[in-house]
Amino acid sequence: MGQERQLPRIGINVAAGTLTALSGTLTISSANGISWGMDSAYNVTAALPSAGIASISAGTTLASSGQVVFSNSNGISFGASGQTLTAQLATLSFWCNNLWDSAENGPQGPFTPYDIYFQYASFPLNINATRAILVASGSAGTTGTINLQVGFYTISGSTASLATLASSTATVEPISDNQGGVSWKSIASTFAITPGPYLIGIACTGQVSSNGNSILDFNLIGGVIRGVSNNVMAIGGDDNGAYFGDGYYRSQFSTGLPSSVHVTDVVKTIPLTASYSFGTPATTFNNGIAGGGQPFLMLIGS
Amino acid sequence: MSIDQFQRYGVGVSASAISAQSGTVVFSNSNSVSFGMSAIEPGSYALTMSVNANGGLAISAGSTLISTGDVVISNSNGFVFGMNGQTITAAIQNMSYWNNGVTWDAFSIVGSSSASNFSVQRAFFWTPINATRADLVVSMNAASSVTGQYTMSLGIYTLVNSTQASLASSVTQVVSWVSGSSTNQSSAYGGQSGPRWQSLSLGTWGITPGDYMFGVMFSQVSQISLTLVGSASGNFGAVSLTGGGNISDVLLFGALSVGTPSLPGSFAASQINNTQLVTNFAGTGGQPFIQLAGTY
Repeated sequence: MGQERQLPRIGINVAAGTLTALSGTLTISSANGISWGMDSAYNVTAALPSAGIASISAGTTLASSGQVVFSNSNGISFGASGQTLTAQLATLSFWCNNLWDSAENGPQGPFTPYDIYFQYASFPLNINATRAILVASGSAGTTGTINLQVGFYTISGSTASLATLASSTATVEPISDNQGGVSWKSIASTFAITPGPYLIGIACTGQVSSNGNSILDFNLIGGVIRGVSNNVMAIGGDDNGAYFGDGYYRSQFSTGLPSSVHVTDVVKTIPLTASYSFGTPATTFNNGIAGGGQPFLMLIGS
Repeated sequence: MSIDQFQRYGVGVSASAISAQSGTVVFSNSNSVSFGMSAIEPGSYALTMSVNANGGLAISAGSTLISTGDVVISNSNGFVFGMNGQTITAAIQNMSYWNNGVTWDAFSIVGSSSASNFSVQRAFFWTPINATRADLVVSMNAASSVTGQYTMSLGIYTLVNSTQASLASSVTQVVSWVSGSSTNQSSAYGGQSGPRWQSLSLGTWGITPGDYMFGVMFSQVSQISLTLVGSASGNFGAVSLTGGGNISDVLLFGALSVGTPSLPGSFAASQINNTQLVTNFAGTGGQPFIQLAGTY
């Protein structure tokens, strides 16, 4: 026999990566989460790893492909920044504490330093306001000026801190004869209130009146306690210093609203002194800060 | 012997419409799929493939990430979710009751379009409500228990902007009676006189969270006196609530300066008189108590 003839290769080569298989057995290996198989008809199959979540459902509807859109509706809006999805509740431009009663004879007494009221309020939605509005009156024939302050305090444990984003300094308006009744008092500022609990501080002080009195006689309109006359509000069964609530600042403050308030600084009882008693039901809110009354307040924006 | 007569001892590879019987088949990286091959032993090779996982979708909330399986956005904590096709919406759980929170006092009602008889008040809703009825509290008295009637209208206005309000929904209802002293018959004077709840059927007012204006109007009031329950001046009496507070440019409380025979379709802040006598219905201080009730 002569020399064995070199048979030509008639199979295929397979190359992947940097290797080329020219002969031998090529095994397609399961790896990287991909499983390979082959049936008796030599059909090669592959099972890929999961490429992410399979579906999203809400209510009774399920989406398993395509693009899911979070749509603004019902006062809830959505946003996306980078990979982060956010939701936001509706923003209102008005809020009112509804303390619109027959309040009169508000903060009387030494108006320098300030008398300071505190009200506890919870906001479930955002408020964007550009002015706070109080209602005040001056005695007829009395002209002078008053200083008003409204501040919003955020609450952390037993301390409330004046939040700069929601605080305002007072406007000073003369109470002239033609405003000797009851008039609106606006305090321009930016009140950007996000949902949460707040302690609202309202401070007021009067200055020298035109009739020579060193103390201007003025009133704040607000809510009163009716049907309780000539009594004091003692602690009773209430743990007065354990939580924030409506009340007044323990001491008058020379510069208006303090930067922080401890829960025990908000007095929710009426001091046991004759001058701090409730008025009669018809003249409640008497002595204002010590009478258990709270000023009317609303926020308004555009 | 022709080469074509040799038995093939290699395998063919086919993909799509092409079949490779010879040459080199190259598994080429593309479409987020990459290939590798390693020599296991002489004459034996392992081909591997990997898929770039970036094509997958994951969602995280709080400290949890979900990258596989089905994600269910579930109603909870006062939030309700819906889906229409590929669009997901969210809403706050409906409430079935709301009131404007004004104190309960009393003030007289002007019920003639010849005078200011349309009171407006700003309102806000934290949560949505499908209101089916509105309630006012009205006290009616006549000098004699005769046949009579009055008409009350309530409208809810959306804010076009900070100075304009547009009527969204309204209801008008006539309260009438004939002479009779029975306090148990709403059709009799006795059943309508004195303080009474007055319900206005709304159909359904679907109110979403936001700012609104309410308008309340009484008309066709004659030979009777009507007193409405709501916030009033009380202690500080019949004094004027004067201006000076820079509120005339916003929609707040007050009344249209002139009378109107029906609820206006719209009004502007400049039309609201917020400096009238606080003891009057049409004045700033006299604001009716309003409550809404509906389905949950």
